[in-house]
Amino acid sequence: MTESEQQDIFESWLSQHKGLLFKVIRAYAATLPDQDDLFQEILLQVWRSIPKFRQESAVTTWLYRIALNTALKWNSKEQKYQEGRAPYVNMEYLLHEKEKPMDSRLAWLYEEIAGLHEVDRSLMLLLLDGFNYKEMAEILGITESNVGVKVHRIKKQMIDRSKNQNYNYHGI
Amino acid sequence: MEFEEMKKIWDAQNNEPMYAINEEALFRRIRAKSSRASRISNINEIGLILIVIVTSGILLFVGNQSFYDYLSVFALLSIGLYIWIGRVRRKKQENQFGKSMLGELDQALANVNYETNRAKTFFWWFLLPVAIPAFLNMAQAGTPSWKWFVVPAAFVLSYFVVQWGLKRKQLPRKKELEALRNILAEE
Repeated sequence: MTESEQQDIFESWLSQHKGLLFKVIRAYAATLPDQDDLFQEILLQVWRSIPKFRQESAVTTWLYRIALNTALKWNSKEQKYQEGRAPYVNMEYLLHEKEKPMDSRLAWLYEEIAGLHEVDRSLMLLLLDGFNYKEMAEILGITESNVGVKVHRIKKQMIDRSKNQNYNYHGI
Repeated sequence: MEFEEMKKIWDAQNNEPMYAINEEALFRRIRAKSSRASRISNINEIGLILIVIVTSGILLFVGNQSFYDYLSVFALLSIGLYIWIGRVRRKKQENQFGKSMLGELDQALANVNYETNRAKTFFWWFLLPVAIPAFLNMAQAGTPSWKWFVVPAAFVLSYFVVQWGLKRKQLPRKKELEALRNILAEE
């Protein structure tokens, strides 16, 4: 594969599926500099993975695998750097937050997802994006029954939290 | 709030992406980062291999050679081969994508275990084979007394640097990965 072919695929994946990557970085990184850092890390892995993509799975599944695996490893590494990391001065960011503020219920949802354990966050993202148990089991490498057990627990946890926050069927 | 309601809120965000991307900087950064990551690993491994080859060359072709010089060269080249095999192994794993999360964690754990074992056995695969011929060689020739301090000190220092890396970096990383794996795999 030539570099220009690789770049064409990369650009096409990015334009079609950037929303998926945004969801992952938002769930795994709290601040904009961290989101930027994780975004770069994920895109680097996506770029390197392109020659290995054999169309045996859907592009979204492939990207989710790469994004979640990268986020999981980035997260456990990143926690060590927080205290001693250099400030982001004069740095050129890849990401800019849109000016329009996020829907408060969506912001709450992201906050709750970020409060889950790293592994559970992956499940929650896949669940919200409509993946079925079989697909989730393949992405995570665990059995469908294990997915079922975890999903049941996470759903219950999220619903309980929403009750504690006084959210109801009609929003805030 | 029921889960279906959360799903509706979630799906609504698909209409408008939450970030704008600085596309001009993107490709520049990805290319730079991609080449830098592999360059760092290459420098470490190729650098060590070059040191081993150059040192062997000096021992073989400069001055008069003793039996212990040949022994040192053999030990050094064996170490070079060991590093090369590790490099080939790393390169193979670097190009594997699309694994499951559990598979990825298992791979990361295997890598950490490999690094941990290498650090734990550093004395046996590096220090001992290099130090024995070096000391025997020093014992044969009229070695100045300062060398009897500097050479052992260098060996001791390298041992402690490797052990420090093991305790500060590899073992905590191993612990984290094991914890993640257990949480993912537990029913």
